Amino acid sequence: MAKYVRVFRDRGGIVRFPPHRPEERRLWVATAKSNREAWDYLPVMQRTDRLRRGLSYMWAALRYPRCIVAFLGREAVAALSYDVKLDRVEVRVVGSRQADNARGAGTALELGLAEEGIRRRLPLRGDYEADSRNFHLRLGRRLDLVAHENSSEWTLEDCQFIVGGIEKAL
Amino acid sequence: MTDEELLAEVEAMREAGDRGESEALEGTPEGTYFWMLSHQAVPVSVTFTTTVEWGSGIVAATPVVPRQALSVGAVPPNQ
Repeated sequence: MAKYVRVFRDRGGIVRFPPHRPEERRLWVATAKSNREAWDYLPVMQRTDRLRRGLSYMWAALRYPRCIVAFLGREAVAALSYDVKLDRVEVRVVGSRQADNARGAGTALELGLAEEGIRRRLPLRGDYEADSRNFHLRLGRRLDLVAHENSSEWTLEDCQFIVGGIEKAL
Repeated sequence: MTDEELLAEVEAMREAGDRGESEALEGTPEGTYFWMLSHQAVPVSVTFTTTVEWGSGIVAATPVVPRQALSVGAVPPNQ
């Protein structure tokens, strides 16, 4: 993870946490929607389902006030929305533009999520699908602690370990 | 495209798949990762046999476990 975060930061990438200014976020949402609409007109080779999914999720993440946003310059390149529940931080959706020059943005968001867990003194929970199980394992998530729900979790201690380890490695 | 149409698309994706976290996966996967082994976080240097692309699952991955992980009796969770 540290390597990708470093690549992103070396290119000037930053991560911004909520609260965001509403008028500013409205602009990000409009740009994300226009990026998603532009997908329909891309050449066939570029019009991948993976990109459509990333753009749609990015739009959805930015619509939610509680979102962590990765920027390169003034451009939002990835976003992650989440809920804060009584006992945990819960991932809603994560999306990105998947731009070559924004490599590492998604990982930087995951690090930001762990930082949010620490700030709120809460563990984190998401879920996974079969084909992304190994990805969640590589993030250091604890899987299937909740039976039959494909749960993917970091305890508060995990968040502290990950943030501490990565910041030390950077 | 209306907001409602786009929202419907997102909801359908959420029901059909994970929430996009696998999209955060980027580039060549070699490096140090944090594996949870018996409730203990151990940094493990991992090399994979496949090149992984965004959002494509990492089914065929072969981890190489370093000596310090073996010394605590740890076994990668996917072995």
